[in-house]
Amino acid sequence: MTLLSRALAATALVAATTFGVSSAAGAQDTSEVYVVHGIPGVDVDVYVNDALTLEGFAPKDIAGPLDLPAGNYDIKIFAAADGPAATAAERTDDAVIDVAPDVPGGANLSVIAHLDGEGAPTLSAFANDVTETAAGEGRVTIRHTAFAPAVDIVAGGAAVPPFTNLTNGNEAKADLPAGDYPTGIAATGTTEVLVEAPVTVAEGTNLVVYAIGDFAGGTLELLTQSFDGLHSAPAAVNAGNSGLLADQTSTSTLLVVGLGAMALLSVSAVAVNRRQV
Amino acid sequence: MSIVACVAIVMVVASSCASVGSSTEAASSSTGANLDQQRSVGAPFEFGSAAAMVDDEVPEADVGVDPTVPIRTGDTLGDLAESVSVASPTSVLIAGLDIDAPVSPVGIDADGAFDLPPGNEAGWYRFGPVPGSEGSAVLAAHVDWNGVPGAFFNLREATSGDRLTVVYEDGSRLDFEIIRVDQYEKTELPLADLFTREGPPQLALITCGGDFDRATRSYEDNVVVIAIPV
Repeated sequence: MTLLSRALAATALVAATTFGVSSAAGAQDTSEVYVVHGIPGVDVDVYVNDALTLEGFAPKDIAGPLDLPAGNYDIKIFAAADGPAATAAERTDDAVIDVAPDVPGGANLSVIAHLDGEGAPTLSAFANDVTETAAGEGRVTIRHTAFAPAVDIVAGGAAVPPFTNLTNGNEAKADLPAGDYPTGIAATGTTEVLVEAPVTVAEGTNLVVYAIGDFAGGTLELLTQSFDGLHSAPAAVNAGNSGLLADQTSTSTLLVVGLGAMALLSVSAVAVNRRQV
Repeated sequence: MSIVACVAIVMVVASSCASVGSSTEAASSSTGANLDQQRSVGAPFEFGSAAAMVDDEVPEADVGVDPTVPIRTGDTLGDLAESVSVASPTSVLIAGLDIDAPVSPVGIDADGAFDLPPGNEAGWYRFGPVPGSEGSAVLAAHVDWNGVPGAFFNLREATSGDRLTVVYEDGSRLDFEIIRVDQYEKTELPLADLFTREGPPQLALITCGGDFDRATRSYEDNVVVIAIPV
C-alpha cells in the first residue's frame, strides 16, 4: 500500500485539541503559525474554517507565518484536486485530516502534517523556541515526525543527549556553540548511522529539523525550518591586563614629584650658596 | 466534555547555557555533558469520534485566514545553502594614532565575553556584521597585554573626525570616519547597541581604559570609538 493510497483510504480523521502552550503566553492575542507538509508523495488542499487556504500544498512546503488570532480553528486537509472547491463543505471526497484545534495567543507554532508511528497521516503542533540564545550559540531542535522507530542522534560513535530515544510526535532541543556537527541518526540504543545528518549550528538561530516520510519505504527526509535573529551580545569586553595606563600615570606622577624634589634641592642649594656668599 | 487536550510539555529551562567546549567537541562528547538539555513533547492530535469535532466551549475564530500567506519549499538538511561567504577584515589602520593591527575573526570565551586575541592583534566579532555592513561591526583589542602595550594602546587618544581604514582579506579597503569617542564603566557598556545586527553600518572599536584594579588585573572602563563608512 503506497503512502498516497493509504492517505486517500484513510477515513476522515476527526479530533479537537488544544495546541500545547501555557496560558501564560496568552497575554497577546495572536500567534504566528507555520504549516508544514511532511507527508511525501501527496499534494493536498488545506481548508481553514471551511475556506480554501492552501491549494496544491506540496510535500516539504512550509507556509507562514499565519498571524492567527487566538480561537478555535477548523482545519480540513484533502488530497489535492484540480480546481478545488472554494469551501470544504463543497468537497465530495473525504478529508485526509480533519481537526479543530484551539490556537492560543502569543505563541510561535509549527503545525505539521506527517505520518504517525503506524504510518497514518496525522497533524502535530510544536511550539518553536524563539527565545534569545547566548552569545556564540545557536539552537537545534530535532522533531521526529516520520514513520520510523525511535532514534538517537549520534556523533563520534555515541549518542548525543538530549537527542536520545526520540519517538514519533516528539522533539528534543539544545543550545550549542555555533559550528558544524557531523551527526547522524541511529536506531535508539545503537550507534550505526542509518541516515547522515550533519548539522550546522548558526549563531542566534534555531534550526528545526523534521524527520519526515517512511524510513522502511525509503522516503525519509530531513526537512528544515530556521528561526534567526535570536542572538544576544557578549557579556563583556575585557581588553587589558597590565595596568600600563595606571603605571603611565604613576610614572609621570613620580616624575613630577622627582622634578619637584630636584627643584627644591636647587632652591636649597641656591639658598645655601647665598648664605655662603 | 469531548475535548482531548494534548498539552505540550514544554520544559522551559533557563536559557542561559553552561559553557561548553569548542564547537565540534561539544557534539562529539561521549558524555554530552554541559549541553543545555531541553526536551519537550509535541502535541499530536488524538483521534476521537466525529462528535469530538464539535467544540462548543471555544468560539470559532471568525477571522479569515490571509490567502496571501507565503509558501516556500523547505530545504532538506543536505541542501542547506552554505552561509554566504564574506570577506573578513584582516587589518585596521589609524594613521594618526600609530595603530596598524592585524585582525582575526573571534567569538566568545568560556565566560561568555568577547574572546580577544592575544598581544598586538585585534579581534573581529565574527558573529556580527563585517565592518561596513548593516549593523554594528565590532573590533576589539587590548590596551595592554602581559606588560606591553596592546594594539589599541593609543585608541583613547582618538578624536571625532579622525579617519581609519579597514583592510579585508580580498585586498579591498574601506575608510571610516570617527564620530564618537566614549568611555564607559564596564557595567554601563551598552552591549546590545554595540553588537546590534540592525541599523545603518557602523564600526565600534573597543578597548579598556580608566582605573586599573590590581587585584583583578583588569581595567574598570571601556573606551569605545564609533566610526561610520566615509
